[in-house]
Amino acid sequence: MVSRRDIFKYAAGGGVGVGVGLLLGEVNQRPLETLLSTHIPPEDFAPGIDTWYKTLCRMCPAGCGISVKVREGRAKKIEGNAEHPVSRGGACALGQASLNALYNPDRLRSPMRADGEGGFVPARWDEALEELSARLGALQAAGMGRRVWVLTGGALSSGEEALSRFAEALGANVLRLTLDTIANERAAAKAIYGFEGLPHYDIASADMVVSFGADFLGSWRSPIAYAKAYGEFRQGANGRRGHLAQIEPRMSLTGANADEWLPARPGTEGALALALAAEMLRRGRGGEDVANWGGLSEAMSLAGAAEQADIPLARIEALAERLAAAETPLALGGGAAGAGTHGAAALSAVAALNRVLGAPGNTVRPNLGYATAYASVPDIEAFAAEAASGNVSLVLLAGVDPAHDLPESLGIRQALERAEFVASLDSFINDSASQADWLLATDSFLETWGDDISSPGAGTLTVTLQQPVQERLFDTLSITDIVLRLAARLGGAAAKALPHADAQAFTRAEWARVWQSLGLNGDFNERFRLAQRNGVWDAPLAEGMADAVSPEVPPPPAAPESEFAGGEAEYPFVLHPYVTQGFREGAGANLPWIQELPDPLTSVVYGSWAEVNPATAGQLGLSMGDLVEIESPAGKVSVPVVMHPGVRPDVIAMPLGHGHRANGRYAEGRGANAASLLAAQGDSATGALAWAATRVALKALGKRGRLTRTGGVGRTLGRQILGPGGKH
Amino acid sequence: MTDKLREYRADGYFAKFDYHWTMAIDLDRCTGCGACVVACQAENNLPIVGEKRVRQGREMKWLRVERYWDGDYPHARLNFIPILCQQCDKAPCEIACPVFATYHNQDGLNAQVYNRCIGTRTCAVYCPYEVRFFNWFTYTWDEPLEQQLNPDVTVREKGVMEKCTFCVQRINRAKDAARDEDRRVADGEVQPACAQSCPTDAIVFGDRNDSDSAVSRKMRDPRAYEVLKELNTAPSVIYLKNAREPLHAANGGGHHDDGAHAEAAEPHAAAGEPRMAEVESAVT
Repeated sequence: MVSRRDIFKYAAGGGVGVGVGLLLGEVNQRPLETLLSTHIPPEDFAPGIDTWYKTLCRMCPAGCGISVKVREGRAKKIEGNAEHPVSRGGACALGQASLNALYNPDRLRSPMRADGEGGFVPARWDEALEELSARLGALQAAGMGRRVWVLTGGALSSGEEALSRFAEALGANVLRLTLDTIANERAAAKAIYGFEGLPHYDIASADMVVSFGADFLGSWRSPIAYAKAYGEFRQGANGRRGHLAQIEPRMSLTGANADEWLPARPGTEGALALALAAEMLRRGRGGEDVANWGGLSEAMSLAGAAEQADIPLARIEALAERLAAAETPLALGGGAAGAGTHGAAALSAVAALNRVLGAPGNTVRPNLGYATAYASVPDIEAFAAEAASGNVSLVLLAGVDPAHDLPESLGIRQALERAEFVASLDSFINDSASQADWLLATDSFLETWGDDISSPGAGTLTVTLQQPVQERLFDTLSITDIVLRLAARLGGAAAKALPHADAQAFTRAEWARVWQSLGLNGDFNERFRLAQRNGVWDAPLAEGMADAVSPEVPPPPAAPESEFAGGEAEYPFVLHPYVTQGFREGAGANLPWIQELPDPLTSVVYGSWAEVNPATAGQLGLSMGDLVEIESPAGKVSVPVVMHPGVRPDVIAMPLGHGHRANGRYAEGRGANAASLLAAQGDSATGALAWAATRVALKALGKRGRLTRTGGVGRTLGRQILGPGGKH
Repeated sequence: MTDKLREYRADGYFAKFDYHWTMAIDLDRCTGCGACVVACQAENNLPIVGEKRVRQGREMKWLRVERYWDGDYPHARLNFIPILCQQCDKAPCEIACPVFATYHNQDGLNAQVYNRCIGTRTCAVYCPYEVRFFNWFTYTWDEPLEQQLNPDVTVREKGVMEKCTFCVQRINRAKDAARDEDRRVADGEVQPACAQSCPTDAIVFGDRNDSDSAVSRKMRDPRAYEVLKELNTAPSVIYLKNAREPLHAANGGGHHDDGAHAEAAEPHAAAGEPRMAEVESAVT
């Protein structure tokens, strides 16, 4: 029952907090505890009237602008921000389900302290900040700042900036963690296009897209922006229908929508791209900028690559034929294709194909963003080694769950166990946080300030403003707030670097700094108010950016086949881990809407699975839902099998993001974690995590697993459901 | 009553009213991502039924993405089609309800009156699209998830049938606003949650009585078709066929018949769907 007092509390909380907050810039203060406040209700608090706030979605790194419907002080619905150049009004399942995180029953409602028996007890913020700042202060005074490690997700946000400045003031180490192969793609862009950062891919303007493993409709980079572009690519205003060829060992969501799907042997994508580039050169596609690439066309043949990739030569030749005839072709590389042991080389090969096709400057354009230096495998191993020798005194987990999301073989879980003191800054007791000494309960992104630079943007510099759409539900703070308060308590260099009162003040100061550095003077408040209204500040790229493609580059190096951990005799299958839009690396697992949303390819809900080619399953005597044990050199898991007609017979595919040890009632103990099977290997050039380079063995356990699927017969059975004409 | 049913089921009956809401779904744009499914769940207060209930077939999804495989490895292909209430002008469900809890409104919507429904579930049996969902339980939300519930939409209780409404709460709001300004609802002014969220703009919604509306233009596309047209239900959801080349052509030969690998060879239409003659005899 809601008591009368509670109703007034709601009113004052939701109403005054947001309405007056946004107008007067004091949103982070507790609401006034007065009954009189609703006599003159704030402008956004008229019962029965929706208020929409523009803000930033932080469920994945894409940086989509969203529009949130707020009623009576509570967020009700998330839609895409139609004025945002990245999301253009679209919103994915995960972004919409972030409301499940905001109102999650297992969200931390206050800071908590480990009770020494594996549990946690509620505590006060001043206790938490006191203990943490005392420990940090002591380490700093002893000149042992290097024993402090900050683990973050590495966004291009002002929040990340605050963390970096804080770590710098302390002399602490920062590990920016991701599974994404951004480092490899940046290396490829630098080598082949000659610019820093990630390219912007203009799918809408392409008449043909060849994608090497990039699931751009499902999970790769910026799925909403690419899906919007894909809609135009298919049925655009230009009146021609784009052709999509997808090359990958396991049919992804993008592969399911492709015109042709070519199941290349894992790790051979680079060689195939290079052979296609050579073929295009032979067919006279290359311009003057690749005039010195002659050696390439002599070295690489289509027949050799077709054999290597285990695809009939006729299909590769047909693809080359079509590609040579395309006017505005585009090649994409990503996902597992860039996550082998020679991932950077494979992505360079894809970039080389683009270069021969004349894509740079047309469908491939320079872009800002992803300046972040992500941690390589040696960096992470150094952290684990330091922890093993007892040299890690304090770890701050800033909104990341590496014990679940990253390969277990990296030893992060053990490192967290061995660290003297661990504080988790998160909204949930996730797998990493369950080993922490303190849980610093953080806001939902819908309750606080921040920003992000979309990377890749939409060919512009896109900075999205994150602002609270409602008052805090619980006694929480944002990561930036926590860092600022710690800095104030520590004094000295930290306080000097971060003198701001709270996340709002810091965000405003950052925007002022950026605008000033760009020479945008004038009324800051006016400009910032406009950004609050639009949810985004969007600027054309600086003069000369469009010509940043270097006129001439040396020919690409060879693209060697990926090497896999585990011998072929002992481990006959290649494991193909993949990221899905709903679960990402684990962020969606505690959201009931995502758990209950059927997987697009397999229609599985509530749990994970391993995908096996029907022929392979037949040989092993497996049927749908049978429990199997999958073993790699790094670990083993038990999961039910799904027969998937879009998986190579020598590949086992598994979705990432499942199999949490903790993380609340919806996630805990559901499915198996594919990341626990991955061997700790880095890319040969960049050291980025090679997460698609592990072999596995599969053993039937002789019993049924728990597999829940929706839907009925998966064939149309002659019914004209997909339209007249039979075949589709 | 049957006279009335005959009247409104006559062709062109809805053209005389202000609006005839229609949805067009372009399967060449649809990627099967499921954003619409979650948008519908959020907008319409659909419960989280839990794994056990899903296993029992009690899933509550007014909008679902059906998936149909064609061919076999390595020439396999997956096709997606979002299926929701087709808002049929000649709806088999409407003639079945003993208490007129489901009826046709003048905007061409197949409406469901929750407080009239007595839970016979006959309508769900008559529906060939299987888009009606019965509340076998009063579902609850783990506190504080209930704070997300949309105040514009009723939360249903045990014993009530429910289904897609074309987000009638949004339609009514747009009509109210238009009426206040003494004008028609403009094309594109109202969008159901699914259409709004769609990342590829595959779903277009609007008024079929306006021949210039985006949805009317889509209906004139040569790819336009109705699902289970042979049942003569006159659906208000129009699909635009995927424009991909036929599977065998795309792979340079290798003909694959989708019926040949079916898990059951019986055509669905013969297996207990209501036939047109039966529907008609129920009307008379």
